[in-house]
Amino acid sequence: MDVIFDTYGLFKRFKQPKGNISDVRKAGFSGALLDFRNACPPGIFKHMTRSRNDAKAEGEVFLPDEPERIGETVKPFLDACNSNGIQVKGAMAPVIPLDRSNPLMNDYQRVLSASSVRCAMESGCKWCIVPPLFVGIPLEKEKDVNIEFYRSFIPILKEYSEKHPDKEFKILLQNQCRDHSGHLVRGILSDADEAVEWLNELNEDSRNIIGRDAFGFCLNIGHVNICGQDLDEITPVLGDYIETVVLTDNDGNEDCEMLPFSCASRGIGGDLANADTDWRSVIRGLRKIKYDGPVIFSMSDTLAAFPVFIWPQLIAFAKTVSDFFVWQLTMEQTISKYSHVVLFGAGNMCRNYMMDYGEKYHPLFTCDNNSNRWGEEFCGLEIKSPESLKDLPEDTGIFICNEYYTEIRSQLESMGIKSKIEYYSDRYPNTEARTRLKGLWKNA
Amino acid sequence: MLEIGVQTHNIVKDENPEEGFKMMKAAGFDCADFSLNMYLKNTDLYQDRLNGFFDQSIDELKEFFKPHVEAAEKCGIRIHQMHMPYPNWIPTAKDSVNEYLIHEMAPKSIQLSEFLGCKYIVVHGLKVKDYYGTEEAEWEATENFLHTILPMAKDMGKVTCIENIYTSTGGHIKEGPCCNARKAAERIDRINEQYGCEVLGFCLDTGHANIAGIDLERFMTILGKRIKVLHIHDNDGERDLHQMPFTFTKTRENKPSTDWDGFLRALKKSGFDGVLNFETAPVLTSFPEELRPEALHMIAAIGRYFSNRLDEM
Repeated sequence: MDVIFDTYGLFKRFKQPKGNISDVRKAGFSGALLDFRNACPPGIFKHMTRSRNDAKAEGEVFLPDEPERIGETVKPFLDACNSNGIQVKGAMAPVIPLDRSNPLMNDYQRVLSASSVRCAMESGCKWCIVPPLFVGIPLEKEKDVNIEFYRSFIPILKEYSEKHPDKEFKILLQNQCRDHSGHLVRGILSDADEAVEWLNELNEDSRNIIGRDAFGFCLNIGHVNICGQDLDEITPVLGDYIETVVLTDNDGNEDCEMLPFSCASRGIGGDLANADTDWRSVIRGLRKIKYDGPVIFSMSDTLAAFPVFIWPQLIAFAKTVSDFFVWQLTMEQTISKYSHVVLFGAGNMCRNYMMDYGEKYHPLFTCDNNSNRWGEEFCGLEIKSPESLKDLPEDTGIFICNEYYTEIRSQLESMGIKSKIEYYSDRYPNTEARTRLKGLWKNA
Repeated sequence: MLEIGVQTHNIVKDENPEEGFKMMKAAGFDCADFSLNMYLKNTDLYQDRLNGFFDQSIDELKEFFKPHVEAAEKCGIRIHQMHMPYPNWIPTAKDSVNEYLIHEMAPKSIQLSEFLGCKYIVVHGLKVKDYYGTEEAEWEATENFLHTILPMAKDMGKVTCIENIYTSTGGHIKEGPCCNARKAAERIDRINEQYGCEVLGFCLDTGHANIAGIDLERFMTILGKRIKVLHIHDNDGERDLHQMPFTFTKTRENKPSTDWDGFLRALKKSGFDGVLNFETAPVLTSFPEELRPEALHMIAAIGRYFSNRLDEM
């Protein structure tokens, strides 16, 4: 699974990108997002005249007036990525702030999106996220206006396809919020069924003209959270249309891009805060469709809040967090790699493994350090001594089902265990079957 | 001109129901939403506390509510809808509590709706997704519950209405049962077909929609005519405050942060011909006692405004 670091907020107009990009590389990220918001931040659409004058005074390109110059603004960034060995796999077109009401903004978005797509193609990206037009468009016209807008990219895609028959480039639509006088609610494409309807229509056109599907979906977790939606209800509907996922956090009210797990608050009667994003639903939702595509790690507002001095450590920590997600999301893929599975631990985590994966990937046995339990049966598994791990069939994975991961790993390594040691986690179980609850209604 | 209504909670008191219904009428309301849920509170149920109210026989319950019915009639208030106590199934409760809710509270509530003379009974879906794992399994449990009351409701010519409700993660509210308009529409149609008549409808709760990030116009447009009753109230988009519409703003322009125009457009599009009913009991406690009748007048005035706007559309 590719984790792409969203570079929005690292630079102002893509200036001086070298130092920061090397922090991204040092942290272990191998990919970066060509985020055109760096060159054309949403804020400039709120204060056009002032932003235009500022750009002029600083000798900068003001992209809404000169979208054709987008290439020169991103060149230092692309050079820096290249010299740091960072791949630029995808792009994000500029966005208009949700509270704008002047329909002229749509004209800016049209030309800037087209320029961004061309620039992303030239930069070697495989896709570009293009948000829908929305300013001043009534509900009943949203679809017609936007289908026409997205269709306008087909000639660009065709031209690219003819020039590069071996390459595929996609335009990604994205779920949006809608701003109603400062309150964000579900916006265009937040309804997964509607999104699929649009994508089917657009891809039918693209198949007729360029012979392949050229439209996909970018699922923004932050927007899902603001819209109060359950991700595990959305992913099965969108399925293979999901080409990328924006992983980000917010408080459920403001469209901020924060480091995942950093937004928490106390619910009614809560002693300690809990995450404001339902990460269990996020993990479950992506696991449901066995998602293994790219994940964009967006944390521009966390970057903005932290002193630049400690950005290197912050970005390194972000990598640790992203690794956690990859571990959680690819749990089943990791288990399925092995011909045989053995568990270490005979408690709740073992029971939860059996509940989620026991049928499909049935372990040979489990083991435990407590000699009093050896020979017992637990969740249909025999509990054996850790010594039994010395004699395992080839291609067996040992999954530690106990939170003392590092201690148990050390124990096994010191015993000279040759089999591969993996960590299992039941923090976000796929199911929460409670036997008693299944009772009355299920048998009614 | 649509009729306007308000919930009885915080207005109609058992010791003198006439006083409350009189106040409703004086404020300008035509209808009442009978808050049966206040006789078996959710806060008690979550503590495994059953107050024994529904231990009474149906005749005893009718006797208890006789003064209410007479007072409403005397004051010219029509009881249009009723809220069944909720939750009607508690995952963490003793079996005896759940058995009581299903076999005592629910059927007696339906029988009382007949006695109160109201056609619509609002119920909450079961909040058990975290226990059953999927929304489909959660709905299956709700549907099993509905099938315990729908045959009786059908016989009595009642329409049970499922309501959009919410859950939370941390302090952040998110969608709960019946927040997917497409699924709700399909389920209502399927069950009505199964019963051969309109036995199930939808109760649109504007405040719950608002805190769950639902766009009222999109949501209501999908549900259309299936929306039979309303719980109109407002909030800050973050907490379930049940205040009167137009109370909250979030920007310096000070425009309402709830999309009341979208709400009215959707009502008009769907041809809604029911009651503009307000679920605003907390307004009655947030204003000083001396101002409560005026506060109620204000809510009624908003109802008239909505009704006029719909006529003009």
